[in-house]
Amino acid sequence: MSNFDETIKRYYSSMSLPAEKVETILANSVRVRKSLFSRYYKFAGIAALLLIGFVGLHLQLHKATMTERLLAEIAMNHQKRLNVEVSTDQYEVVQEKLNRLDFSILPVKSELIVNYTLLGGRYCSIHGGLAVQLKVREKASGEFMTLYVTKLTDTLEDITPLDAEFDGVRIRLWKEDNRLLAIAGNKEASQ
Amino acid sequence: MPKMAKSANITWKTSRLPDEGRHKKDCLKMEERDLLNAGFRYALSLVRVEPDAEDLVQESWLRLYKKRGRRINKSLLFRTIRNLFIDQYRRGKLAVFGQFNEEQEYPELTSLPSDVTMMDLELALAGLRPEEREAIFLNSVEGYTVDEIADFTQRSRGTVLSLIHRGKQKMAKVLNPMGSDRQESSI
Repeated sequence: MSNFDETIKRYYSSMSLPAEKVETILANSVRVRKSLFSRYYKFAGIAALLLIGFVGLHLQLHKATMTERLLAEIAMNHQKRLNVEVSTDQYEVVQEKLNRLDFSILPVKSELIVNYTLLGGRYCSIHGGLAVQLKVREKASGEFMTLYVTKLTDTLEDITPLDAEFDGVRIRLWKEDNRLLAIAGNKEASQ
Repeated sequence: MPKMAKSANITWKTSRLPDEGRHKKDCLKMEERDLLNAGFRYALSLVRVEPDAEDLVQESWLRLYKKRGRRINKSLLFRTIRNLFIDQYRRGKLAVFGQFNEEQEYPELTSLPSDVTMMDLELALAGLRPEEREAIFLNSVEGYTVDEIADFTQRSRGTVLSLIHRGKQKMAKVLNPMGSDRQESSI
């Protein structure tokens, strides 16, 4: 190394940042990094909330669509007024004749048995699953109604009990003993 | 067969001593201090004024730290300082780069007198253009080769050589006026 280089090096080596300045810079750098991290956490939090909201909304919409589809199916079956395959006023007889059913068709709600007369039943399908469609008549009004019973599946589990009107049909949905039940009647008949 | 003593199977977990962690932390802080000082010297070679150099190195360091945390090295720091310096220069905050007078001749550099003081050196460096100071700093202090300086500053090898040569000549004129006078009179 030349005399010149050495002199220059000596000069620059004698120069250094004041100790307080170094400490300030190092302290600031940690603070800057921390604030950056907290900003990242904030963004991550907002993103997580948005994701949860989005997933929740998606599930809600999916549920709503599924309920709507179910109501449409029930209303359509009711309006078809198909003839019964087993004509009887005994639930036990329908159960016996329609032997492919692996669930009880007898409603737990006694009011159904007391207030409605069974006329017969036939196989049908609800949401792709095997179901029974029972033709009943309300004793008080004489109105013909359709009672549906099917086994609860994972997808039907999400359905919430409700009273609704769909395509001019009044529908009541409820759950009993691991089964989904629905009763449908014409809107005009009840008015 | 005699049963093996239970203690033979015991493996002792060597827990890290608290001093070890502290030592590592201290070393890291020392490295950061050295890096900051190297950056400061480089900034000084560009701006010459100490407060400006301090600001330059602080801003560059914080920018880098924000992006990369502790993963900062000298080359990265120098590059950030340089970019920031150019930015500030363009904004007119630092009035530094002068015109490069290729026509002007300077005497050849001979050895420096032994009684050169820091004040003399400061004066001699003050008379240089920033790019000359930068090239001399990178070459003489940081030990960069001419090719490395050319690559770092994105100048041609010839320009870097010229910057170093002219810078040294200018300094020699300030630091060793007698020698240069002798040389001038001999021409």
